[in-house]
Amino acid sequence: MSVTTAKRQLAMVMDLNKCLGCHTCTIACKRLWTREEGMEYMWWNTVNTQPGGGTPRNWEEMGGGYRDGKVRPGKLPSRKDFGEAWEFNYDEVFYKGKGDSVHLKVVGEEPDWGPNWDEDQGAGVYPNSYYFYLPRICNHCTHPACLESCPRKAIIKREDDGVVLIDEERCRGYRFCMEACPYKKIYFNESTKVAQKCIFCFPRIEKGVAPACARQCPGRVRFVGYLDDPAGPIHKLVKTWKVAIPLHPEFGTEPNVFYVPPIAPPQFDAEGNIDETNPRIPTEYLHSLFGPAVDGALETLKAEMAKTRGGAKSELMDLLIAYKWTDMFKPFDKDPAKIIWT
Amino acid sequence: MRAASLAVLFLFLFTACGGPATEDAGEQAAPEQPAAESAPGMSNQIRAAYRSEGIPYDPDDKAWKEIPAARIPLSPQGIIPPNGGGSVAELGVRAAHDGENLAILLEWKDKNADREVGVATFRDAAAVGFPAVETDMLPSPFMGDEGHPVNIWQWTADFDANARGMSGFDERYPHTEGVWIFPQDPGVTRQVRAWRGTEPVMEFSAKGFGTLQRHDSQSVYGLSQHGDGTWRVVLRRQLSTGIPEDTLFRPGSATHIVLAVWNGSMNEVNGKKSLTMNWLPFELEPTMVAAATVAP
Repeated sequence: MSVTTAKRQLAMVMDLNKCLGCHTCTIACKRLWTREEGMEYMWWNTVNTQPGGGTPRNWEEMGGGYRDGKVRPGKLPSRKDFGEAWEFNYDEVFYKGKGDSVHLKVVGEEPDWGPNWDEDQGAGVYPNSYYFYLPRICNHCTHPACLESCPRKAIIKREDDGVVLIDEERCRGYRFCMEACPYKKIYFNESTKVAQKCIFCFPRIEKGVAPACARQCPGRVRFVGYLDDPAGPIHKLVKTWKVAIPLHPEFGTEPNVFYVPPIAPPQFDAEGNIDETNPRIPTEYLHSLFGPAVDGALETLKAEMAKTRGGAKSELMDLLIAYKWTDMFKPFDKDPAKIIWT
Repeated sequence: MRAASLAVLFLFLFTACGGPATEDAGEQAAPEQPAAESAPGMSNQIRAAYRSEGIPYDPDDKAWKEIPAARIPLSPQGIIPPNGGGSVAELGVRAAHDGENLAILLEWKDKNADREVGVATFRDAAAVGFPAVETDMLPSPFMGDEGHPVNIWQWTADFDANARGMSGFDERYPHTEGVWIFPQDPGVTRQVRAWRGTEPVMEFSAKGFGTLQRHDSQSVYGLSQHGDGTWRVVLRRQLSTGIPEDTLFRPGSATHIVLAVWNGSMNEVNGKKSLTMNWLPFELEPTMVAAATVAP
């Protein structure tokens, strides 16, 4: 297993209790980074409904990551797995005078998957159906399987902040990184023939500006900072309160994106009464995503919520509420509009 | 003469035993060595025939039939991960030069012509490697080593398709930039890198695993045909390019060659390939022998 050479690690915490699935993060990223030729199908940031197939389709079952300390190549997702963009017959409907007779439909092959195909489907049976949103970016792992699997050594982990980057000059498009990444967050550019992925907005980070997905989030879901900064929100949520935990820790890459797990409302029993003993999101399902650490995180969250209901102050709740949104990114709280970009 | 005979003997032992290529048998190789490959398909000796009238370039050129083929067995790559290959067992090699240019015809069985590099698709490819410079020691046959670089020419079916306008890729996956470029945007600022070759062959240097370096100056040309389940690919270059990284070929002398083939259908790329496990002697017939026969 590779050992990180990073002296410090940048990290992100996403509070799943606040994500409303609006995709502003996704579009912020798209507008900033993936508008070029060959990047049409790329979504470095995705928001998917859980439980669900996700992006790429069924990525959680594709393998990759580490087993017994060794990188295990998984499946290479196809373009169809990621979901292809399709066109509608706008021309016909809007400009050819057939608005009354022709309906909007897909032009060409009918797609059977897309980057957010199963949005809001979720699982469970009414009145106990449930879902939540899971935003994802590259996890900038402490042990990046992508980095270790690259025979070209085209992937680097930056020493100063742990951001994992692909050197497009060195990359030859072999795609071993895509097989090895268990989160399937690496894309292949068919025009330039190189692998591309989330760069944690490093040019913004270098100017003290938070990544676009975090800063643009209207739900105040995303915290950004150094993992080892006791004054920052990340350290408090991950290390002190232990309410932010990694997704699929069993993959072995030690991701540096952490999630505050969703607290589910209780179920209704057969008589329609509220059953406080059974959360609507099955605990086993949360275990399958976050491992056993989810139990402690949920317990702490519930205890702190109870405290505030009783009228007491909770530092954790204040932190998660994020009264002042720029506090979520310190020290990366500079306004990008006031930066001179060169 | 005695030295030359010894060299021939050594060359014979070297190729017959297939032992590790640790010594250079090249420079002393006897130019008068008789052509052993009078019957095509019987030899693993690669020899560039001298043709004063010019060398064939098109794989369909009938002139190739007059040049004996060496049959080179290939093995799967099992030395360093990612391991793989083995789906192509043999490579036919013919070579010719006219004193100025060298052409090498590679022929191998592959049912499918894999011409695309998509998100999860891989292209067919073939490569030849030569010691980049003459030194006492041969480079490692596996991508060379520090101090002993190799000069690699890699033909890839996707570049080949692009170069010949055969790629249907863009039609099937049209770019939809209108969706993402907003009217107020100044436009795409970063340049799309020119990985699409204008020639189907790329020239590289390497000095060990993971060190492949594309040459700034590209000197190798290529033409290909796929039919009857067989790829036939011609690589052509000047004997001397004047570029230090490029192997210098001299008529009447010998160097060494390594060969590799990738099968796109088997997701073969990088170390996943069928290859020769040792350097093979690669001779160029002298020009003067043939020249004497046509000189007045």
